[in-house]
Amino acid sequence: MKKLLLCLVAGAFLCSCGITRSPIIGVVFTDLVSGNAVTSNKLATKVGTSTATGYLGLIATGDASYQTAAKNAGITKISHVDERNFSILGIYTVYETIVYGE
Amino acid sequence: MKKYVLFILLMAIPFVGNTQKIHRQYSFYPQEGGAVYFIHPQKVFESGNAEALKKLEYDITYLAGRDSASFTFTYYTHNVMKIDSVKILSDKMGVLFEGKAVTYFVQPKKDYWQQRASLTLPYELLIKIFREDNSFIISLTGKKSISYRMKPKVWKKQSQMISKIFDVVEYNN
Repeated sequence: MKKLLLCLVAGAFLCSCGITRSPIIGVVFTDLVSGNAVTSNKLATKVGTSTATGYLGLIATGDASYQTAAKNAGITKISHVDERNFSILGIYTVYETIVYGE
Repeated sequence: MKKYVLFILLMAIPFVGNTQKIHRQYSFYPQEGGAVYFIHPQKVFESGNAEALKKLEYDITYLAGRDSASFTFTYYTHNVMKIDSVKILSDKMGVLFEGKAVTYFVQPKKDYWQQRASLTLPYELLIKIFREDNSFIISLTGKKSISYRMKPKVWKKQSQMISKIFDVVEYNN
């Protein structure tokens, strides 16, 4: 039982390194926003988000696509895209796409 | 081994405890013609209606200098429920605002439906309703009607947080 638990914890830690695309990763805690993409459209009147979530470094679900984020705000012209990476010990991780546009 | 695990968990506590910090709840993008403020999705509204599934999730977008803001929300129902209008109600004053809802999409999930819509309402009213003592009620109306509101404890936190973000908007304009 102890070995299994150890494997799970070790797995979670090792896997967590690959889960978020954060420019900087904190093993204990990560919460940062960074730029992802920019277009020639300058104006942003709407903002939409889409999210994917991971648990224990073992299960990951969600839809963090640009398309879903744009759809969530009725955006047809994207201005720029930010991303937010959040992780607690690699056990709970969130990747959020934030799309600005009109 | 236990000591190491405990040490790492204890290290994480201060960060986890701060996850509701206000600067993480909104985005601010300055641009020509007025900055855009975005309050990130908040999953806090609940309904006692059997047709409603999960909590209603809302976000707010405000363009500085404009009179109105967009209150955009996602709601989940057992059957398709397209809405025409949205009412904002208060316990004390009744209907505070009624406006036409713009549906962004209706899509099936496992065994339920996800719908997303938006309501444009006066920014001053938005500020006012989030400074009330009790949660406002949001009533979605189509062929049927579903009402949502926040629990008192949730409202207290939400009201403080959103009001503080409105203060930030005011200080930067």
